[in-house]
Amino acid sequence: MRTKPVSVLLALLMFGMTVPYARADIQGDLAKVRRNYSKKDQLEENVRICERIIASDGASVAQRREAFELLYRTYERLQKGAKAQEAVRRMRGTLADDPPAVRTSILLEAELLRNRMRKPEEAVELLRGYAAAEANPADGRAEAYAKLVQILRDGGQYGAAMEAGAKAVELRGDDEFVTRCLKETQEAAYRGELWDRCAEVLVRLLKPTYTKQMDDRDRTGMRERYGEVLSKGGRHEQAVAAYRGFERDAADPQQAQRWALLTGDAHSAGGDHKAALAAYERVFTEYPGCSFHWYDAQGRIVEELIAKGEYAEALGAARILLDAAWDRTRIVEAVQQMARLLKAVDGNVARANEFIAYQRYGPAGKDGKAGTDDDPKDVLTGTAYPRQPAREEAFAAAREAAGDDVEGAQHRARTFTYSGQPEQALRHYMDAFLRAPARDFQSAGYDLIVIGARAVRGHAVGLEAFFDFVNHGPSGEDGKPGTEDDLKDPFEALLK
Amino acid sequence: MTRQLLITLASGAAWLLASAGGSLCDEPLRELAIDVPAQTDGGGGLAGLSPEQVRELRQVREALKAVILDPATPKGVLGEAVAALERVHTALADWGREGQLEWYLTAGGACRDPRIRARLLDGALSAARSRQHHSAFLHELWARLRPHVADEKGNLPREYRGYPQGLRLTTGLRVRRGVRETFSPDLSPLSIEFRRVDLSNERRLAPLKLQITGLEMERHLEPLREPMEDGD
Repeated sequence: MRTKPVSVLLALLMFGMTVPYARADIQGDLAKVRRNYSKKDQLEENVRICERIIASDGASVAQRREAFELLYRTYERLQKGAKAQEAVRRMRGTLADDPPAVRTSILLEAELLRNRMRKPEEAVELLRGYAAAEANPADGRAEAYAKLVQILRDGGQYGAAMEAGAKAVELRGDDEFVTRCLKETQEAAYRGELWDRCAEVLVRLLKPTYTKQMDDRDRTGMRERYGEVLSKGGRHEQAVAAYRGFERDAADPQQAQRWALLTGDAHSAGGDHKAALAAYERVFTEYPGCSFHWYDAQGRIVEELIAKGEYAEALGAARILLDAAWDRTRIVEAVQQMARLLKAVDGNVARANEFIAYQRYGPAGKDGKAGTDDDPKDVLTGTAYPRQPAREEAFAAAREAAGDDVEGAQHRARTFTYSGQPEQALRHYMDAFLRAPARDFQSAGYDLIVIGARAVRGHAVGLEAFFDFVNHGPSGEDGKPGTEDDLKDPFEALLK
Repeated sequence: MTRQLLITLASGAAWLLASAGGSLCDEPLRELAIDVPAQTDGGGGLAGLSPEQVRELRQVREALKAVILDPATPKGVLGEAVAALERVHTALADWGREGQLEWYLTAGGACRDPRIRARLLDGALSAARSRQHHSAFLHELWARLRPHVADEKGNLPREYRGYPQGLRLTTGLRVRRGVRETFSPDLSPLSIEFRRVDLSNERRLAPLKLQITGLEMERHLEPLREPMEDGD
């Protein structure tokens, strides 16, 4: 007669024998807890499973280590800090002979003390104790030092954080770890405004061994940071040299253009306005096929000209900036800058305020009626756009190469905007709009009105009429010609 | 897509045209065409295309149209050809050319693949705009097309989700506190502040005083105390 398994289990229990817990079953149970440890309603079940594995003779050290870790994560996720701490301390006590368990427990407790329990000083003490003991494995000590960098940095102990970072990379040399650690260390130096020390760390971090561990965004960020800290530390010439090097190595024109822009910033920070202007101009002349950073460069050109006291030139450059602004925020900023400039040139606010009134209310003034006393004058009428032969020459070639799609037509338009030819720009924005398929209708139409039409008109008042016309056509919203809502084509006067 | 690629694609048209296949015809939409101002053939707008480039592009355009209407054209090639044709129209800036709208409606009606059909009807909308700098004709056509592309409940399939909002130009400005923003900047006039010179409260010009204050006098004049005895 065959004995049923249930009978065997009952018999074992009656005689006080424990049920063997097979390693395969343990593996399955661990997987179950791994899936459920963040579920509140599974807390008791997860704890029961973990405790059973921890107490089981059949569990391997690795399985018990994982059970402790999952017990910790269960409590931690459910915001039971004291229980979580107890779990990792038991892990350290129970598995004292297992170095990975000791290391994991230290790092987890430090994480808990720092994040959940808000006791960073205790976390520092714990990590320092572990990291300083030479008997502990070098890898674990390095991890502890790396964690110390973050905690000390967040606590404002920048010098100590840097020392911890240096020890971490001394103890563990794999490229991925060193890269991570150097990034944390330079951040500590940066926050502590230790510019020279930050630059030193970055010099090492920017070596190919480590840059290849980073993605493009990170790599670019670290390079920008390097130039920035050199500049902040007063080493402007070195910053310029660094940016020029990055520009030479840049993979695409948009990034190269950004390095040219930052080169200008470094010159400017060093007080060399002439060199700054030349660098900003290169953003146009060396990269005439990419307009991504043109607006920023134009804005900086205005600022440099003001810094040099060349107000007449600054006015012309500011006018281009105002033409190129493409949303309300930028339009407001460009108007403010122009007004401040007019005030600086004149020594009084009469022309500046006339300009503000014109931009705010249009040529009909606040009452909206043309021909009344409050009509402001267009004070920029006599202000010439700057002559920029080098820019114009580069743009002429770029227009030919711009292509025959919507973006190409818009790029041609931008080259005219940035060379002070708003009428030509409008023609090309219109060209982009007319060739645009239905999918590009919105974006091409928006630029046509807000950049193209606004620049020719010289102000933004009443642009709504352009939007209405584009949306409804000459017959107006009701679509019937000869009715009251018929619309006049507002582009007609501008495209003559 | 580069011109060379378009030419390469079009050169395959002869093979594709030679292949026999079943009809893809589904629903005739040609009768939905509206009256739009017919435009002449596009010459590339302000892109500066040479006469030779224009001629080549026109050849490519006709070849692509043949590929698209060929029932034997595989679906993958058909999708590419529709996209390439749209690109050629964009390059030539020939939207609204005579017969173009009818062609797109015919091709769209004949296409069973919902994504390619949507793209063809997108071309019909572009053709309907007919190089006008307003969208009146485009909306007129969309009003006619909508019932044909919507499902039984009147909902638009995924391929048309952007419509009709995508066919309207929006300012991108927000409405805040019941006031619609405009592009014209809301700025206060500048002023040069003039401060009246008023020295009446200037602390540095206050009358000089003796530095011994009442409190100090009290401290200096405290009576002396007798030393206390232990245990007191």
